[in-house]
Amino acid sequence: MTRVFSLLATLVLLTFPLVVRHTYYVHLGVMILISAIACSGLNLVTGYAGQLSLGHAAFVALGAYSSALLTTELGWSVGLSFLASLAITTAFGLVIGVPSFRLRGPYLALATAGFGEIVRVVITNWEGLTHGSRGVTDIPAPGPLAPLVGLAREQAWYYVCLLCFALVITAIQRIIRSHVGRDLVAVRDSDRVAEALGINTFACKLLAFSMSALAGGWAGVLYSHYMEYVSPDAFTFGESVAFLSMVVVGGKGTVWGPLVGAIVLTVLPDLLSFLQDFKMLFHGLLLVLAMMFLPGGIVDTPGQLLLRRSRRSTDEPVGVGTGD
Amino acid sequence: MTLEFLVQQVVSGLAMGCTYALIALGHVLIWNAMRILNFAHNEVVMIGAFLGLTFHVLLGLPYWLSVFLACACGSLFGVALRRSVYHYLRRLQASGENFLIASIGVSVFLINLATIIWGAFGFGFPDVFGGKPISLLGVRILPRSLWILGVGASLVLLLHWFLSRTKLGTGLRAVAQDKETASIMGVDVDAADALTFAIASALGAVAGVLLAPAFLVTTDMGQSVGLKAFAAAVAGGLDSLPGAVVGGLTVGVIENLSCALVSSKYKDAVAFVLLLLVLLVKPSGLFGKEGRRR
Repeated sequence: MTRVFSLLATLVLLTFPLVVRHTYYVHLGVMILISAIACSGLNLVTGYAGQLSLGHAAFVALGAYSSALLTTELGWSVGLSFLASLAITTAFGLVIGVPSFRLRGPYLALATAGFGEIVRVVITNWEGLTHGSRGVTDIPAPGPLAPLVGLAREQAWYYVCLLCFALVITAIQRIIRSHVGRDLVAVRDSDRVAEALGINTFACKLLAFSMSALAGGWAGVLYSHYMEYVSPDAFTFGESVAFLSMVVVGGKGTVWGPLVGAIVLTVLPDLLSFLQDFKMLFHGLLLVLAMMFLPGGIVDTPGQLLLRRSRRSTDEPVGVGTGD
Repeated sequence: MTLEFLVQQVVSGLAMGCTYALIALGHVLIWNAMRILNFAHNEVVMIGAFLGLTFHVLLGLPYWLSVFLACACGSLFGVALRRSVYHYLRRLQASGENFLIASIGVSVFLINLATIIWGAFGFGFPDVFGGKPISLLGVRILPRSLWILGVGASLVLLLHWFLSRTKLGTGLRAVAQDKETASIMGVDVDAADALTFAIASALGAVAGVLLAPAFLVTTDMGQSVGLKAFAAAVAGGLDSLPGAVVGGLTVGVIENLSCALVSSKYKDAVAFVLLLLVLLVKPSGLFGKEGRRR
């Protein structure tokens, strides 16, 4: 059943830009994949390791700005700046991961939010380096990829992003299926018990943080070279929250949750556009309703319904508390 | 750099910190009652400011009556929010992230509701406290700062008296400590939580109306002020009421001093740098008891 579903999903993902050729929809597809890459990283740290992060947009910003500045100011090739940017964001992930080891629940959440705000304020005001709120323009695209296979620009980018998404999600899945992944889940459920079992919780959290930063940075690099422009507006606290919403609405701690969440929350404003001024009002309302009626996320819902049917009223939903 | 100038900056910083403290107190009260991160609380500040504007400017009511009405509406809103969304999520035993996203959803809803009602552009609020600075031993202080400090201090004292000296307040503290034991002792836990939300939201709304004359009243004012107040609450220790007051005042003063002495460019980052510095040394905030790893 799951195998059939995965196969179908893969098929849809592969053929989407060939079937739906309208540039705008392919563009949406690219944005969804970039969000899904960032969210897969966030899912590792929040969904699997249970560490609530509210500053994920900062890693995306660091990746986007590193690559944008390396290519425009220093004239590096896109491939080289891509690798360097991943190294930079992963380093930042480690720097954030070390002190956050001592923080729990709300303290970690606000510390990461604070980190995100600091990054945004610095990017906005360090005009000598980042050009301030005007942003970086004319970011080069990677080599002549598109004409080689006869695809339009958006279509080519779609496949680049799809390949990156596949790589990221495979890497994350390998981590989750290894003993490290089981350790992460143990840390999520109770880091004291995990420690008593001999799990190195410090190494676990550090790995989760650096991997999530890497995925975030990766998404950032793709974003800046695809848009050919970056500005601080794209990396606000609201953006961090949007990433978290995608993970939670899609289904935290599931492989496909981040992608499903990214699809739903990217397409939703479009679907609601007929409401005009009331669009975002309903967006907020739907977020609340999703939390009330799909608490485990969309991916988890069929499973939850089955569970409820088989176990009836004895079923107790399992939650990850922030405080206890 | 004269001493007078420095004192001036500290006083106006304390006034700003006072509003942070009022919002932070609400965050702490709500955290103690329900153990949730309620981002919608920031929007109570914005709604408070807009209601104050509506009552005072559009309907022509006296300022202090408008403050009182905005405050009452704010607390009604807080109670309604808890009763409808949070109560339901609590019964689902929803996770912390779910509460957080739901509160963000409420926040997005409120911002856009306010945009539909009051429009996307900011409103100026008349400076009801008078714009002429008072001179005191060579220190020039805006009457606004003094009023905010006075109102803030009396509200904090009132809250302290209520929580420590009245039977109702003792009940609230009991519920915050241990819901089960409190309910065995005959405290109506549900009513106590509702009252906590009412008080927290009232404080937030007052902060909004006090801020209104100093800033433009805009739909995103809750976001910027509220997130800093949240940082102040966490830096002080999210389960500690004195921590919220100390955190709020400290953020206000240091923010203002850094603006005056260094540069105003990085003003919006000051609160968060302070938060990170505090958490590096004390992971549970200045006065917090929770969050310690062992």
